[in-house]
Amino acid sequence: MEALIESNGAATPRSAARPDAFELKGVMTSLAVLRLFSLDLSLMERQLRIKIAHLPQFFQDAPVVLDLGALALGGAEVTFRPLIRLLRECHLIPVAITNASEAGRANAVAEGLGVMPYRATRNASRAAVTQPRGEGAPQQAPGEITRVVRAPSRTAPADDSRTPVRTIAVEDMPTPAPTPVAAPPPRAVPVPQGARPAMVVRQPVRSGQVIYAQQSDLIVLGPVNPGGEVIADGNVHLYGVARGRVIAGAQGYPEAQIFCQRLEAELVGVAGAFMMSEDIPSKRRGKPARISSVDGACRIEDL
Amino acid sequence: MSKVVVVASGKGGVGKTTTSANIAAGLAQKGHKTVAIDFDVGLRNLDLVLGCERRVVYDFVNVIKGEAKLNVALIRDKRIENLYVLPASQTRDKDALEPEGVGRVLEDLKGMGFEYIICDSPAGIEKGAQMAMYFADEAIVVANPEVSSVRDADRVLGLLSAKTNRAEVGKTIKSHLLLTRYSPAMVKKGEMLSVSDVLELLGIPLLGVIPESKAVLQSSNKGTPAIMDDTTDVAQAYLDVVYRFLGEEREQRFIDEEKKGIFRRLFG
Repeated sequence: MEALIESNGAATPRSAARPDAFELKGVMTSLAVLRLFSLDLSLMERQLRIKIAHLPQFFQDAPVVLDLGALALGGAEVTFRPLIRLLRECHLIPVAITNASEAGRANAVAEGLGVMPYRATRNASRAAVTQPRGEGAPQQAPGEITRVVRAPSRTAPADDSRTPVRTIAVEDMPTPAPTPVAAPPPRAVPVPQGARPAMVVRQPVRSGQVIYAQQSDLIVLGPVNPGGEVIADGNVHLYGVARGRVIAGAQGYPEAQIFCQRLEAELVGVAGAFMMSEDIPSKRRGKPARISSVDGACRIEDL
Repeated sequence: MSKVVVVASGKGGVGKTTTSANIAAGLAQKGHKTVAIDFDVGLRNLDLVLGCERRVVYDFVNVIKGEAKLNVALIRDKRIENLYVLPASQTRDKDALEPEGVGRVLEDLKGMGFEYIICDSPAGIEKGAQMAMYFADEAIVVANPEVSSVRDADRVLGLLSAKTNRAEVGKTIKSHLLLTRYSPAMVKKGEMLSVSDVLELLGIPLLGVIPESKAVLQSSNKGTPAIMDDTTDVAQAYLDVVYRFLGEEREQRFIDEEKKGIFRRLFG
């Protein structure tokens, strides 16, 4: 896992010393995932057009990833060309597939689509067919457990509908907010089980910086200053003063907690429950604290 | 060995240009060949504060664009030996600053034997400010003892640790805090953040505290850096800063309220 701290990249000055032809960067982005349950193109078109009519700007020229995991043969039966044509007519740009079988992958690559690893969080009723465990299967770290829970979260931003491409920290990233969902309503949330090592940040998190520990805990040794933001899908441990925004369980993991040595945060959030600075009881301010989510509300206790 | 030093703050009006002028003048007075570069393209000020506005023929942008030679554009200070100014363009905008050109000019200045290259950053965190900090080896972050200024300084420190040439190759930029317009009397009344409040939040070493003083305004109107009249407290404070910057130990002054004797209390 890697912690990049950078801001809105467009205006970044580049080094004068090396006139590189390009720069390869890992960036965090959100992608819409279109999870296919049927290959009935006319049905798909009708439903897609309804979806898009709701949020036309959101879908205009949006890159989408096709999740083939719910199809019986993992995409081996898909004829991609008409499917791609249909999506492009709907102003969607299919860029990659995920959760495909070997044959499905080969078909997709032949049509110019990329292959993305994606930890599937499938819902049992839909995913009647088990995912082939070959190379095309979603990549899981050894011993990593994916538990399926019904999302209790109001925030769960990146469940079925969107998948982060890579763990990152981005500046000026908006706080995760509910996003339009292209897939059907039942949601599954991956639960961090400590299989991924925690992200450790040694420098102070300064105003304007956002650190996001995807699918893991986050440990910050220095302070989180006002205007700074730390987010983890798991727990957040803060050894310096917490003055900025602190969010644990960003994808709705209900057991997530915030542990901090000195609570002076602008905002704390755990698994979809939030508390603003002014709502933090004054007797808790400036003291060590443990914050959890109980019945959809933040609870602050002594550390 | 040349050092590129950016003077930055994020917030405007906190004293970046005053600080750039005084530190550059102070370093030059101590015998170090120093150039101050104005990165505030479109809002040229440094030449005024250093009193050389009438001698500006070519500017930084002319040099970057290859329209003028560097040694022609550089203005040599008539009062202080070793002090040079590279003024900003008043007629262009900040898009004229591009990294290749800026990097090339800085390299040329190093080649000319400048020991200190002081980059006076414009306010904000846009292109001009990014270019001023991009090639820096060290940073002097200027803040007033006031919440919004401190937050902006914090933001700038974040950018210094992420969006600079040194950061890109995994090195850090040594950053110093300079607290300007400080008024111990107001701190005592709780109307101003104290030095320790600011230090606790920003967590970088304190280069010095410059007291609030009329001398700053007067010297900038006259075009004579305050440090040249060493009878004022501002000059003393900037001299301390220059010594500390050069690695000497100097006790911090101007942090606590001056104890007034009975006469000064009656007549002062």
